[in-house]
Amino acid sequence: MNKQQYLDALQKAFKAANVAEIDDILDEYRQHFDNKLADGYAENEIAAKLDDPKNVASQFAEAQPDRANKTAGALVKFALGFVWIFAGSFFLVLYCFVVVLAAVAVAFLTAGVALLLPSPPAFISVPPMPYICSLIFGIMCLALAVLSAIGAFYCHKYIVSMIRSYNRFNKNTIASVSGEGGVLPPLAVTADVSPVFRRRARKLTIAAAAVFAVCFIAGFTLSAILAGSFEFWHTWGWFA
Amino acid sequence: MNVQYKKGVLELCILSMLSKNDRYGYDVSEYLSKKIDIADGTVYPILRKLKSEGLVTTYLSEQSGGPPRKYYQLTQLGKDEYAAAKKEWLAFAKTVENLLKENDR
Repeated sequence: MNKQQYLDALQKAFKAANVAEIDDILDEYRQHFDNKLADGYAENEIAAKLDDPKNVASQFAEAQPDRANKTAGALVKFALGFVWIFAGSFFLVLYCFVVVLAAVAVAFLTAGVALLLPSPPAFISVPPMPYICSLIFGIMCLALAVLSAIGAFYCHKYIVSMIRSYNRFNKNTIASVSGEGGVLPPLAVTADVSPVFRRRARKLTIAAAAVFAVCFIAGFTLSAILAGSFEFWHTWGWFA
Repeated sequence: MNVQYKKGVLELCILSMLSKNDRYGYDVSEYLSKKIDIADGTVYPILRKLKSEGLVTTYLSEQSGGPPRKYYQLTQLGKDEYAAAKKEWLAFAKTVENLLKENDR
């Protein structure tokens, strides 16, 4: 085959395979021939060393995003955008849990500090009790604050991970329909913290849970003994 | 040389070449054809695919005594993909090499 015959065969094969930008590609092959000719090869040689036009066409057809599906891609994008209203609301509601846990942590922190202070500030009303009980319950509250904070942190991490995973799913759906962009592997939903952090957090959680349990039992027992009754909160007039 | 190895690896080779310098299509094609037993022009569809995936961009450069040449250049995405693919390939090649050595005894 000579140069023109090869290029004609190529054009025919491209049209048959529905390849895009045919002229652009043919230009590249034209330049290939010209460069090779300048290097001293003969047209027949060059054509022979090139792959069969039908194979070339199928390689180019593979290499491109499927044109017909660009509209499908746009449609899917629109639909997913609409669904995001609902998904977004869901994530928002879920995140409220994180906000609540964080608030609980702050509340317990404040309570704990107030109980530990020998004379709490006027704007915090602490139930009247012997200082030793106050101390124990104070530590108990701080332990709960730590537990709530850790809970809030982990929930936050999980929700963020869920959102990322959902986004990747969206991107993959669009990509597989429109053929644009790669289809990336799905993201697992994990807390995404380092193993060192995880170990420390676990130790802290267990320690805080233990402190809470010990202080709760000790505080309750001691308060009952000192008040002379199991319902020490009545004796001390907490809810009067 | 077996076609199956070649396909995946050629992309990596092309990205590697472009990571060093911007090059034009014929240049990449000739260089690789000399080193690897592939048909001339195997490179062109791969370059087009890399462009459609956003891993490379092209620009035209005027040449004295000839038509303007289309140069290929790695994008940031291309650079990132190359680094990842290179790491993966080297690890894979090492694994295969070790396996072959193991079974030679």
